[in-house]
Amino acid sequence: MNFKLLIILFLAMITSTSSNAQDIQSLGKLHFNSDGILFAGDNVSGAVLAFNFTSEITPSETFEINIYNVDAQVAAILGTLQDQIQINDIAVHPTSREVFISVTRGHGDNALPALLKVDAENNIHTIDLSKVEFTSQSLLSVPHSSHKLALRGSMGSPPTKKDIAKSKQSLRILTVVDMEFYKGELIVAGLSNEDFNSVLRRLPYPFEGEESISSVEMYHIAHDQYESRAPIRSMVIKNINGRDQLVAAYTCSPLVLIPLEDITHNTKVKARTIGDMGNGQPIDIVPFKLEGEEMLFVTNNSRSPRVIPVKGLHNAKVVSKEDFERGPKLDLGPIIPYGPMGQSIMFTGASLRIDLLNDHQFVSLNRDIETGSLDLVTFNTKMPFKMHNIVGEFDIPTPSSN
Amino acid sequence: MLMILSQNLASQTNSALLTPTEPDGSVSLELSELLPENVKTHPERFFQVYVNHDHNAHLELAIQGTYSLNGNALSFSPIYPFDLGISYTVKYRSSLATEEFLIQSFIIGENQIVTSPEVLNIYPTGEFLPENLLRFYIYFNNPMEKGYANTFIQLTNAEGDVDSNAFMEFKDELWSANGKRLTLLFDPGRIKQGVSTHSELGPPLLEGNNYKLTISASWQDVYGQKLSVNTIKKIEAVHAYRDKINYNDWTILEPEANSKLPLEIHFDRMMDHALIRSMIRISKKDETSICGFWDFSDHEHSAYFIPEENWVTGDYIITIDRNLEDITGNNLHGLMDTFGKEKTQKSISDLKIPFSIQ
Repeated sequence: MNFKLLIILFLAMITSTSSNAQDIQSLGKLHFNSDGILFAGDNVSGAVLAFNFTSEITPSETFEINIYNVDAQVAAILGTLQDQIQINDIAVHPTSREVFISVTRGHGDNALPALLKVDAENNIHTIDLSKVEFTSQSLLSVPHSSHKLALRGSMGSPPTKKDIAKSKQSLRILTVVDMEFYKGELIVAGLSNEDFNSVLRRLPYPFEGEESISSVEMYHIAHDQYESRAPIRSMVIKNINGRDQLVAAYTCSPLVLIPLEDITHNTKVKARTIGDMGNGQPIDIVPFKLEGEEMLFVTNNSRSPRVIPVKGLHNAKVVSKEDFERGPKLDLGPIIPYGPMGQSIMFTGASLRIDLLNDHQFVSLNRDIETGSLDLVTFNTKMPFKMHNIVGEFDIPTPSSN
Repeated sequence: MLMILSQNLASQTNSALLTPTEPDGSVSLELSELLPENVKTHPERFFQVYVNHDHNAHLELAIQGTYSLNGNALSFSPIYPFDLGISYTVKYRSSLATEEFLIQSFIIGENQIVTSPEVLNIYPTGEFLPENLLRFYIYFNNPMEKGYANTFIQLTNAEGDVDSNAFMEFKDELWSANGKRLTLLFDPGRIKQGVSTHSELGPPLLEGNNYKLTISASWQDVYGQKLSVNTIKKIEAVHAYRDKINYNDWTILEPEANSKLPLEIHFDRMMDHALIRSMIRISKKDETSICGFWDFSDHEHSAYFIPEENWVTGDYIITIDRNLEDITGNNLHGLMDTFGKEKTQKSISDLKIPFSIQ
């Protein structure tokens, strides 16, 4: 064991069981296990946290959540202005079905983490982080704050103001991009500080300071190359071909399978590319059932969501460089989308974060396409759209009905 | 906490609204009549604080926080500090008899009296400290500019040589949420025996030697005001804590019933005062917690728990999280530095010490 690692392990040891709110520096990605333990990524401190919400109770009936201008409402109850609020993630409690929201209140040095929940009556409650118990574990080999995203423009145009702002962001923001809980372990996708930046970490829970790290490589169909730097954007665990596997989505937008038994410490995992959803950046993958059939609802920050039948992933062809002609594959070419990637569907507005509210509804942090307002709204899983921005034949009364 | 009396008192009601002048202040409503018990269940019916409606015209959502009742004063502390420069509105009832609400606004950061920054305390408070000391806690009265701890804090030996590798350089300094407490951690590699930096550079504090921890007068608070003087803590390094915490040697002195005298715990060594606050809980035998606060004496060899309400006769339990540490990071599980010693098995259960008040 080298000295640097020893120091890191030492620090992990002294911080792993703390429960001071001041130890929480940020709250980003959220993930509930089936017992009601809420895992949260703290990218500022490079740690994962676990909050115990196992005693929440089952509601007597299903409910909808429809809160408009949710960021303004969160700002009001946290005593600040709307422009000081950034909503980072949402997660539905497995029992109470209440929606937990991670927030950054304020900017820069003044930024404070906040955790809120929305109950069945659509009331928003602040969870006082100084009074809630949690455990945490510092992650090994997290990206340095000083390492930034690369600066680049698009399609020959020079970088814009927003591109420049993007390039000032630290790679640290990609430490914890997604999490899944599996048989007593938290699996974390994100970046490390090693040469191969995209990693999967496995941490036994309850946290004891143990962590394994594997780097991940996959064949990127659209880029026509093997890639190991960009992190997995979203993942779920499904039994595919008789094995428990990660179904993981990358930007621009390969879908890969990774058998869980392949993720062992200090190895390079070769993910199996089985499809490409087309250009864009996946946000969430939500498993749900549509008329009894297992489906994945995959949202994307650049295109409409896709519904992918899980049965199509069984026996899907695993592709590599040998399967394609050389050169990039664009949306407008004949190859993309590739593989059993289901269908792109109608969805109103842009879902920034989504989770399953109950067996027939999603709850989405949604950007309204007309007003730009940020809303927390419920969608039916079968027809996930709202009528308020749509005017069609059925909105015009027939002469006889007037 | 600084408070100013609201200028816009409804003179006929004799009630007074006190608004905060600092971000972590609270809003307090004093009524001339004694508040009945039922105010505890619905304190928000008496007053609520909002982000000013100019900013949030369509919203009627009050800021969330906690109310506390003390005599005829009802106070509200928000969960998150108030922001500087934005306007807040208090809607409050001028008396119990009226359903009518009065409105009062305040802005923090305007005409406020900002006190000069100073170092309030440095823990451990003792001068004679073991050479394997793990951390200092430095308390300021104002929130300080972050990112400068290693610039403005120096450890020097008797010859005046600066040890620039003494403290851990964190990606982010360890500040409390209000920016008033810095945790300064020695580089553990320098303290732990058998680690290369310990062998090469030696421990930052060496038994028998004198040191100074200096906090520079040039350090600014978040308001841009400098500390007016250098703060110097003298240290003489003494023998390291290499033995396990022996809680069987602790002495518990029970307070008298019907008093607010402290429960005293005298430890076998200097303990980490900050962890005592979060890791020792006093409860009745039926697990109902006793509210109160901690004070320390004899350089954190002793902790005093002072209850909010008078002690009543009965059986009590002191519940101690085994992660409680002494000032060198040894906890109730075992030693921080197990070099050359057997590692101990962790016990999951808390340590429970019963006591009775007669």
